[in-house]
Amino acid sequence: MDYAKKSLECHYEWQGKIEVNARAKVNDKESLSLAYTPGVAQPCLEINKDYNKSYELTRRHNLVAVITDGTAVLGLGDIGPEAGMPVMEGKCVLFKEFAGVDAFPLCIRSKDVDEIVNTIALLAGSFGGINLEDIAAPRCFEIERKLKEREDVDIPVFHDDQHGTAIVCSAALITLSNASAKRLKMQLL
Amino acid sequence: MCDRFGIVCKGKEGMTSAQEEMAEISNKDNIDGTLADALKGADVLVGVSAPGCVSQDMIKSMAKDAVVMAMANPVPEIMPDEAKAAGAAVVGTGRSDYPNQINNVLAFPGIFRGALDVRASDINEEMKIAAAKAIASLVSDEELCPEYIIPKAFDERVGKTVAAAVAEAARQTGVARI
Repeated sequence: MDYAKKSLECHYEWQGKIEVNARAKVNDKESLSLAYTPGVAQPCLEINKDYNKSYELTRRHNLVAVITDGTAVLGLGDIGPEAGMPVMEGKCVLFKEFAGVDAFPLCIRSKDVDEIVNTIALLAGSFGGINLEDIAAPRCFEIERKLKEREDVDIPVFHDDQHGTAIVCSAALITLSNASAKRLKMQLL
Repeated sequence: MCDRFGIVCKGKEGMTSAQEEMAEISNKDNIDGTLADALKGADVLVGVSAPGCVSQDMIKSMAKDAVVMAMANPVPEIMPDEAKAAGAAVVGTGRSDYPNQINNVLAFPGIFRGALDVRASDINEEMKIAAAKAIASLVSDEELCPEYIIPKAFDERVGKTVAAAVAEAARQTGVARI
């Protein structure tokens, strides 16, 4: 199959691979008053008292930001944040389909490490985790380290291109280092 | 470890700070040379580089029954049939049309599922290692063969198994918050 041609057709048809769905139904005055004002003030005040309640009273507990600056998209290189979006959306689809995780794509228009770090740090309160994606080396290492060091970023930060690949590759090497691999003359260690 | 110019070693011209840091771990004897030099006698090649940059002669120079992970996408460092013909015992790539697809989708969904489930404040090294072991645990001794060293991308057990292992590692390392 010509994936390039077919995929482009699909993308024109999909007009985006993810969308936001409402979990609360709002179809009359009462439901409106519960999901939105005036009722919504109460969960706001609960979170104001204890910000950990944001995990119980909003979708934060299941929401990951998939973030790029568009500088190392696939093998295509620095193609810009908007051009990276189809990959970010695709990643969000995989999060949902493979693990039920809600993921939201964010493409940052900056190549400045501190600006990117600060932008992500400022957004951390809205998410349960940060997945960094397709950011060029060596900047990606610095961005991840700085985010992990910041005390105001109290959610997991994971650069998938680096750690995801390392983990799966390690898994393969682990299977090759077990006893059965020895039997097959495939043993490594 | 190599980059496009050869073995990463301390003090070499053009090294980035990340490469200097890695050289301290991967190249204590400060050996300089080409990729071909690095592969001589090596047991494993982990390629995350560029299409076609590894030759059959390089594979032949590796240790007997070498393992080749040629993960450049979409065209690997060396095609699996070429690597096998040159003596590699096991070959993995990033592609779904060859055996042993090394695909991130085996890891990241379950890792975040596990981290979110315990409201983890971090994804630390212990959690990553737990994920790798969890993925490996799904390949049974009976199933293990040169064409099957890693579960398939659509193996439904993977996400749940990884999530449970990652959540447990988060608890044990004190980063779980519920």
